[in-house]
Amino acid sequence: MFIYYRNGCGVSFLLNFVICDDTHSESIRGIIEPIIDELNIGRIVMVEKSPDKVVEYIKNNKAATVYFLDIELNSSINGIDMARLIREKDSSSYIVFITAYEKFAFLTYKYKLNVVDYIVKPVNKNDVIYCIETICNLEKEKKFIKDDEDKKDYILNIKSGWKQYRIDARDIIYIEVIKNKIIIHIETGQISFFSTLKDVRDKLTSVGVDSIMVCHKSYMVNIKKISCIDKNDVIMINGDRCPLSRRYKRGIVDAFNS
Amino acid sequence: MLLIVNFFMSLIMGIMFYISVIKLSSYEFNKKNAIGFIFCFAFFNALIRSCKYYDNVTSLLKIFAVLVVIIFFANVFIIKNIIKSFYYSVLIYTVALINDSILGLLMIKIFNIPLNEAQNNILYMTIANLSVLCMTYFTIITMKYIWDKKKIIAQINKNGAYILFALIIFIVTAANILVYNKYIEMIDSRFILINILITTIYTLLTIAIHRAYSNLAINEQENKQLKAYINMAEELIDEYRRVRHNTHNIIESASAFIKANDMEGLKEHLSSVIERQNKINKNYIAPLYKIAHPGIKSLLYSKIGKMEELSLNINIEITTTMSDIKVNVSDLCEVLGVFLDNSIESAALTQDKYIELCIFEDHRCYTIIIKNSYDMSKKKEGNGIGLKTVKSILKEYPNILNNTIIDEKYYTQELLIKKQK
Repeated sequence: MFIYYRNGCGVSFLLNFVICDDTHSESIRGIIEPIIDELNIGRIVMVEKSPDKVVEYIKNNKAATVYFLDIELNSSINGIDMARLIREKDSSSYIVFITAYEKFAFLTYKYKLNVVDYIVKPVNKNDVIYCIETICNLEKEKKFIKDDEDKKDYILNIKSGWKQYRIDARDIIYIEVIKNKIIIHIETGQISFFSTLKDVRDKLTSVGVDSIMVCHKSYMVNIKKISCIDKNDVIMINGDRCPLSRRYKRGIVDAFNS
Repeated sequence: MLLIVNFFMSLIMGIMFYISVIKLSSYEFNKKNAIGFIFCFAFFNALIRSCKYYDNVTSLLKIFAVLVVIIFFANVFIIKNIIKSFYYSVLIYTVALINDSILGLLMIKIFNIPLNEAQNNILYMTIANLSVLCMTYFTIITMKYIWDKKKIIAQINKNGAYILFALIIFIVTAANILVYNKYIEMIDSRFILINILITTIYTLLTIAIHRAYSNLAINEQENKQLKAYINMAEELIDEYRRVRHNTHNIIESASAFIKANDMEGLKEHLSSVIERQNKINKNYIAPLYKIAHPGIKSLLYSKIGKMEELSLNINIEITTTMSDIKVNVSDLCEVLGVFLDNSIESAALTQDKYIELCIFEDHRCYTIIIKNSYDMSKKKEGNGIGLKTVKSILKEYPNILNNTIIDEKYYTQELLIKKQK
C-alpha cells in the first residue's frame, strides 16, 4: 500500500482555518465555525476579503492549515495563484476552492496543486461538512504516516512527476531499469521515475533493506518475493519474469534457498 | 520471315505481360480479352522489332514504343483505366527488361553464346523469351508477396523505409554513372547526354513522387479521423440549437406567467423545467475540443462513446492541447486505447462505475490520468496482452513514465510525458 490507513483511532490534531472570499467570507465563516467547533479539530485564524493578508500569512505560516480560497477574487491575484504560493511553501496544508462556476477544471487542480475539494457558491452546509470530514480523514492518515516516519525503516520516498510516493521497500517485488527510467514493481502497481540503478541501490541500503538483490544488469529482485528460479529467469510471485544473468545466479540461488 | 519470327517471340512476351498484369492487379481472367491483348500486342511489337535500325538512340526509342503499345492495349483490353494500366505496364516492363539483361549476361558471358547467334537463332530466342517469361512471373509474385507484407513493415519503421528508399535511388544513380564513366570513350555522346538527362529526371521524379505519396498516406489517415470528429461536432451544434430553442421557450412562457401574475403557475413551470434540465445528459465530448491531434481526439471520442454505452459515471477534464508531445501519435493512441479499454471493462464490473480521465500539463510534463473504480474480486483475466504491448511501446520512450496505483477502490494509470527542453 502506498498510504497506511487505519480506521477508528482517535487522533487529536489542531488545524488552522483561513478563509478568503471577497463577497461571502462572513457567511462562510458562519457555516464553517460550528462544524469545526463540534468536531474540535481547530480554529479559524483568519477571515479576509482581500488576499493581501492571506499571502502574508502563507509566507510566514508553519502550522498545518486549511485554506478556503475563493477563485474569482476581485484582486491582482486569485485563489489559484494563492494555492500555487501555498504549494511552493508547504505540501501538507489543505486547500479548498470556493467558486461560483461549477464547470471549472477541478480535477486538474486536484492533481496539480493537491486541492482537496471545491465548494460551489452559494455555499451549502452539507458540502462543507463533507469537505471537512475528508480533510479530517486525510489528517488522520498523515498522522499515522508521521508515526511510521519516526521509525523511518524501509520507507522509500520517491518523486514521480508531480507527486511524491512513499513505498515500503518490503513490498517491492522487483526493480527494472530501462535506459534512464527506473520502474519499481509492487503488488499494488508500479512507480517509475528517472534515476539510475546505483542510486536506487544506495537508497535501499540507506533504509536498511538487504533482501533486494541485483540479478541482471538492469534488474533487481526481492528475494522474499521470488516464487521460483528458472534456468535463465527469476519468476516472481506475481508471475512476472526477470532475467537472471550467470554472474549473479549463484548469489540469488543461495539467498533464495537460505 | 523476320516478321513471323518476331511475331512468335512477341506472342510469348504478350502472354508474359498478360499473366503478370492479371497477377498484380488481381483482375479476373477473361479469354476474349486475353486473346485480344496478346495478339494485338504481339502484332505491333513484332512490327516495332522488325524495324531495321539498331543504333543506340533508336533502340531506346523502340523500347519506348513497345511501352506505349503495352500501355495502350492493357488499357483497352484489361484494366480500362489509363493510370492503372500505365502503372502496371511500366512496372512489369521494367522487371522484364531487368530480367532480360540478366539473361543476356548469363547467355553471353557464362554459356559463351555469341551475341549474334543469341539474337538470330530461333531456338535460343525461344528459350530466352520463355526464361524471361518465367523469371518475370516469379519476380512479380515475389513483389506482390512483399507488398502485402510491406504495409505492416512501413508502419513499423517509417524512418527505415525512408533511408532504404534514398539508398536505392543512390545506388541506381551511382551505378549508372560509374558504368558510363568507364565506357565514356566508346559510346555515342548523344547517348551519354540522354542517359544523364534520364538519370537526373529519374532521381528527381522518384523523390518527388515518394514525398507526395507519403504525405498523401498521412493526410488520408487524418482525414478519416477528422471526419468522425466533425460528425460529432455537428451533433453538438444540433444539440446546442435545441437547447437555445428550449431556453427561448422557457423564458417566453415564464414571462407570460409573470404578466398574468400567476405565481403558482410560474412555480410549477420552473420546477418542471428544472426536472427536465436534470434529465439532459451531460456532454462528455465537449472537453475534447481542446486536443490538437485528430488521432487522439477520435480515439478518446470513440472510448467515451463506449463509456456512455455502459452508462459509467464519467468525469472528464482536459485542460491541455497536447500539441507538442514528442511521441509518435499512433503509439500514444495504442497505449491510451489499452488503458481506457481496461478501465472501462473493470469499471463496468463495479458498483460505482466510476471512470475519470484527466489530461493536463505543467512546465515539466504532460500528464494523463485514467482512474476507475475497481473491484479486486472481479478481476478479469486477459488484460495482460494489452499491457504487454504497452510495456514494449513504452520501452522505446525514455521520456515517458507510467505509474500504476491500485488501492482498495480505485485503479489508477498515470502517464507522464516529459516535455523536451
